[in-house]
Amino acid sequence: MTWFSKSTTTFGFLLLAHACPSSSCYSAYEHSALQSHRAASLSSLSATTQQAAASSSLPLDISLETIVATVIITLGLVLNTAKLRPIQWRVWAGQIERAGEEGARNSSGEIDKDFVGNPFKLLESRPGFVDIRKQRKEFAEWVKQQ
Amino acid sequence: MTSSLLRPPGHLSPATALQLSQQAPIIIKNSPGAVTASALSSLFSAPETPELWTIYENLLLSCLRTGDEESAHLCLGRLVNRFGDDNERVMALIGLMKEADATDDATLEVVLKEYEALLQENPTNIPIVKRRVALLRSIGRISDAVTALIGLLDFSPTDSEAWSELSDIYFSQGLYSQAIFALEEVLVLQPNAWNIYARIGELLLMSVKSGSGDQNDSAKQLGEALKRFCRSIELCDDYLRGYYGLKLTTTQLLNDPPKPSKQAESDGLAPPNLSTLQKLDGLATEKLGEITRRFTAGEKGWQGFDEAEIAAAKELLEKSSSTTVR
Amino acid sequence: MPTEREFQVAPIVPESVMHNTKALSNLQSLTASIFGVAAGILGLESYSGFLFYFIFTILTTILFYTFRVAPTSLKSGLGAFDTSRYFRTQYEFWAGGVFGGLAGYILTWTLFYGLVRA
Repeated sequence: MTWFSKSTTTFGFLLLAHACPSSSCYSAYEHSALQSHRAASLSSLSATTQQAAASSSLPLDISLETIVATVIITLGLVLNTAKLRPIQWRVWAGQIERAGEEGARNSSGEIDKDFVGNPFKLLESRPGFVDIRKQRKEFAEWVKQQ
Repeated sequence: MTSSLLRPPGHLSPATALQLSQQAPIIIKNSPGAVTASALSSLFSAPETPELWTIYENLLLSCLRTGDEESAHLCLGRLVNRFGDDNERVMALIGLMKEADATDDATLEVVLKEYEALLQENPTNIPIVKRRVALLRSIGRISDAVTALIGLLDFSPTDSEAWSELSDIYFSQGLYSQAIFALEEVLVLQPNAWNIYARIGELLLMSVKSGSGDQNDSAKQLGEALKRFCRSIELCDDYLRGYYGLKLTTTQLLNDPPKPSKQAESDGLAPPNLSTLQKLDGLATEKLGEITRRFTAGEKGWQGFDEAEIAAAKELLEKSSSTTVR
Repeated sequence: MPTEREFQVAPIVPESVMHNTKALSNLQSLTASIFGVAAGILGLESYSGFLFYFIFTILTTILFYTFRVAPTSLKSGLGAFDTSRYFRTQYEFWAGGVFGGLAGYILTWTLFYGLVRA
């Protein structure tokens, strides 16, 4: 999923980067054409203003390219956003209980860094009061059973 | 895998702990040993993150559990390098290491003496107080542990972990009402902790089963247990433990209804009427069935449950269905 | 608006609210500057520029709804365009970004208009 959204965004930016100088060149070209035209026909003032009005609108292909690029970038960025988390307590807690770590995987398959699971599990495991000797004994027994 | 290293390893299964501690040499090799304070060298080394130190701490605990003392010493060494050995948390970890290394009771006594000496200097060193309580409990001096723990709660009454530990000690001695009281204190501090609601319900059920109270009491306790389990389910959809307890309570109330008592009525803790109980029972059966079915089918998003809990739920369902058939 | 009692019975998870709001507002401010670039290239002026911004912001929100909100929220039984699973109010979701990104939009719009036209 993540490579898809990243490549979509990149493609959109390329398209936009292509559209930008084209439109710039186009208007520069128009500008120079306008200058020469103005030099050629200084006499008719009304014609020049008409030309200027025409030059301010871009050709259709560049406009289309820009709009398509914008839509593609938006799509890529939307796909790149983080997974949302439920805000109602029972839904959120239910997701933790039901799905465990799997529920916190982001689009690239890694577990979110700030995922803590059930924050109240600590009240039952109580790391501050850990009885390390008992744990070692239990572990040794478990190894023997294997 | 690193995500489980960011959380304390107390509740992990032995297999996961072993897996984690087997990774320890690699993690230790790949992580920076010491972070220098000088600005120039910090440009070239990996950035320091708070996670790094959490990983070291949890790795230390996993390694101690599996008996990999070499890696544990390396982790501790790095923590001491970074925070110094007068940091309260590091002091507790050093003590923990000594406890783990101790082979006989005499060594443990020495460690206990050390804790007491540290507490003489600074009586509010909470990690060390906690270690002392844990050690006292571990060597069987329960009443001393309770006294020490109550001393801790006197100057730090908002420590929900300590209240929870107190409840567990009382429970291990069969003092149900004290254990329940301590957990109620936890609920005052953490009003949305769904597992604590379920835990109180379990304690109430066990206290009824142990038959410590008279008939009046058991009606009241069953009614309260029902309420606690319902609240835990209200706070957490598809909470297996909550539904399991609910099912146990309703079965008990339906099969063997306690005499209605005036005291329970006046406290508002009387069990609800028969039709409500049957509805609750049906709901719990249905939900337990759904959860076990989906877990066994390997449905995506339903794999977070504990396998032992699922097995227990299945057993309970089979038992209840066989009694209704009969 | 839910009462205090309802909040006690069915609490809200503040961390999740912050996480979701941050995800949405990051997206809005990022896309707003991209829209500014596009508007500058197209050479839009005055009202048509603002119209462009509003249309594309709404489009972004709809895309966000379809890809991030709808799949899980429809499955959990909520109606279409109901964002209550992830956001506290409908207004916050549908209109919150419009004003948040406007400043960034105008900045890049004027910049690229100037670059391309001058």
